[in-house]
Amino acid sequence: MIFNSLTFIVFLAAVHCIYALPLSWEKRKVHLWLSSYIFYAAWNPPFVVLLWISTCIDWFAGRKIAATDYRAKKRLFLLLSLATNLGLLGYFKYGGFLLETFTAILQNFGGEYQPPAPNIILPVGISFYTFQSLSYSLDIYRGKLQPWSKFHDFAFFVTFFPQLVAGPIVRAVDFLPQCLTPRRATPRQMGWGMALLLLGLFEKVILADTIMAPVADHVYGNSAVAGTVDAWSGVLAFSAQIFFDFSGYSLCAIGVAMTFGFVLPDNFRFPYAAVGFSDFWQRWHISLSTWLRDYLYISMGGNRKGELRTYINLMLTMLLGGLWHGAAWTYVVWGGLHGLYLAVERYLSTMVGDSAILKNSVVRLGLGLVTFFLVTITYVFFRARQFGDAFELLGAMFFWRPAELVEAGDTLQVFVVTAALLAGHGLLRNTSLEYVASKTPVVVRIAVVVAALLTLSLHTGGERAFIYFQF
Amino acid sequence: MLLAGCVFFSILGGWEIIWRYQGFSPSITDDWPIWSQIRRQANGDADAVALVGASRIMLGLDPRILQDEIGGSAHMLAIDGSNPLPVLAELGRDPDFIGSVICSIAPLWLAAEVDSSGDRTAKWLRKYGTQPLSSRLETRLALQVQAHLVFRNGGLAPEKLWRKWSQGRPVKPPYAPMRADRYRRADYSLVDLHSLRASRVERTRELHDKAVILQRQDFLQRVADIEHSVEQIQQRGGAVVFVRFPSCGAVRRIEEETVPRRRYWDVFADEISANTLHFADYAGLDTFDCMDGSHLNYDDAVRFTRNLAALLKQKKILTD
Repeated sequence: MIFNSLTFIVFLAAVHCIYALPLSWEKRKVHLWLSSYIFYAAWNPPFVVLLWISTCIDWFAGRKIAATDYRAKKRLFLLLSLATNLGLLGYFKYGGFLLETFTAILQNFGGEYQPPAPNIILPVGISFYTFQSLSYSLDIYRGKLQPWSKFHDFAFFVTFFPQLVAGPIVRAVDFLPQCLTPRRATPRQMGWGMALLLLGLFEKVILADTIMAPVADHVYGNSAVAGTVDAWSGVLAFSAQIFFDFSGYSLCAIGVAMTFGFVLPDNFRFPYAAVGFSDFWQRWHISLSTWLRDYLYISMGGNRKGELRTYINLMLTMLLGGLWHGAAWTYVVWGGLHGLYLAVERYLSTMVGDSAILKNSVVRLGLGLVTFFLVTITYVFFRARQFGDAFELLGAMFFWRPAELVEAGDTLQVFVVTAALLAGHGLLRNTSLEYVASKTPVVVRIAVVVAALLTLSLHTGGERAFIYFQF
Repeated sequence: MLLAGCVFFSILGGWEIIWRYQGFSPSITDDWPIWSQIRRQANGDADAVALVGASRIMLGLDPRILQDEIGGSAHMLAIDGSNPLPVLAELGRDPDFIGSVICSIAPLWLAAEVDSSGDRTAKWLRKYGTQPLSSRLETRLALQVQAHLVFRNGGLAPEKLWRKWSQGRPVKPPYAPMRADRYRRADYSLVDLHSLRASRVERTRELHDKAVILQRQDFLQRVADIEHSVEQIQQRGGAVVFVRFPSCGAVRRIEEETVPRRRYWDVFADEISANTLHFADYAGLDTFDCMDGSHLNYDDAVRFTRNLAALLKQKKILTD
């Protein structure tokens, strides 16, 4: 079930009706927990079992880790949690990829091994809920969290449907305390939650799917014949599409959770206004980047083990971050390039230090544009199906070829919307959506809501899944 | 939010009224999930009649009237512009399908070499087996909405309206809107019939010129393959009837030139164990003026459906 569907509207209305009944807080939580299973089962019912496995093992491991004083025993149970979650992820997400890579290596050395196609279906959201569930046992192991006393609260935390399939990746320390006191959305929360849901749907359905996706799909699907203007149109279109798609999902998730009185963390903070890559990753998919920082980068030693190790840790974190996105070498290269940018930025910042020139607004604007430029061209590896397509497109971007693919009107549309996106991010980079809304006159807010509702209601394009569902 | 909701519903209501006043009626946007839903409804019912074919049966045979006339339930599984034989083969293979089939088969689909791998039928059949539960629910809801609200008509999407208006083209109601049962109710008074006929003839000519007609041996092999599907359906208690729907004027002449009835349809009718009905052989089916040379207007479709049902009853085909 996806947010941009009629089924979800009916589901949400039904869940809200029951949630509004005068039931005890425990019953209302159990209702949300069980409804989340229905939400997930709408894709493929048997995969609910994987959620149960992840939930039960982490619940069990968390209790055992806290119950023992022996470090070895703690490690053993942490290993159980890691092996279960990463094992599920490894099998379902990377099984086919590993087999393919192994076969290719073998064939390179003259082997004739040709295994049958693995035919493994990727369970929706597995990358998100395994990381979320893992954070619980990792935090208990690190002594940051005590095991939670109620199983249904923990299971609810793992499965809460707004963020179950594509984040934000919520931490147990942020979510579980919200289960302690009865929650009902205040009228203000309800209104703001609905507004976020609407804005998220508008970003997804209109901006990502209707305006940007057709151009991006067309160019990436025909990279061999793309001209220079086509290539830039397609690459910029994807840059905008992925932002609108994923940020749209996150807004929907945060908004829906808020209508039940729950607060989820922000996942995006105007990322295309980032000045540098460190800034970018503090604004883009924040819940994943902080997860990787806290549980991977810092676990490997972070910046505490000397300069060289810092660079290695940075690179490894970003390579694995790339691989987290998808089981293909193109994602690894995408992650690797971001690792490289972060490493270069770190090196340059140690050289330049806290120079006054970096505070000059024109210089910052220039650095922001350079950041966006590099982020955008790096997406070529993220989106292209294979390296050949990526290099074709990069070639077309930087060596003149006459345009053949994209109509002038569509190109203009992509450039205008992307420019508006950049300008919007630039203007709002130090604010929040809530602040902007609070400063907007009521009449304008009503007009925006009505316009968004009308556009979504009249739009008749088919539903398209969110890009991050495949991760 | 409440005020915004009131304004929104007022504008939306006004929008709906404007387009209804302009002559628009609700129309389904056809796609594989809708086809899949109707396909599933045909399963497990011995009285089900699957209507297989392409646009001729979609515009020419009203399932509601057919149901009223012969009983049971009729399910429109035709796919516009596509070869019907893969659908027939799928029905034959599926043990859950225990009903009967009316298959409209145009001469070209019967006698020409076809590469179906890339066409819509192949794609829809592939997706039919893997439709997730959520997509099935969504299809049911979307069908209800589209079947009742004009503004959900695909041609009235804001981006399409903008394109038409910016190009100075008028926004006209579709001449063959699709109902929720996938029947397309054609009203040719809404189109420029002269140019439509000309373009139909041109398209038919192009299609027939490109087609590679099967040699006798290959044609007989195709008939044998069709017979296999027919037998599978018959073994489960169902019946199959092939109907050659009317075509007229230049379209019919092109069809006859490329795929002569004597060499193909008649041989097919002799070889196949299923019933075959050629419109030209029955007075009740031969009196129609296909508006564009290939399809029936709704009033003719109603008469054609009734006459065909009467013929089926008379010949005791599909009815006891």
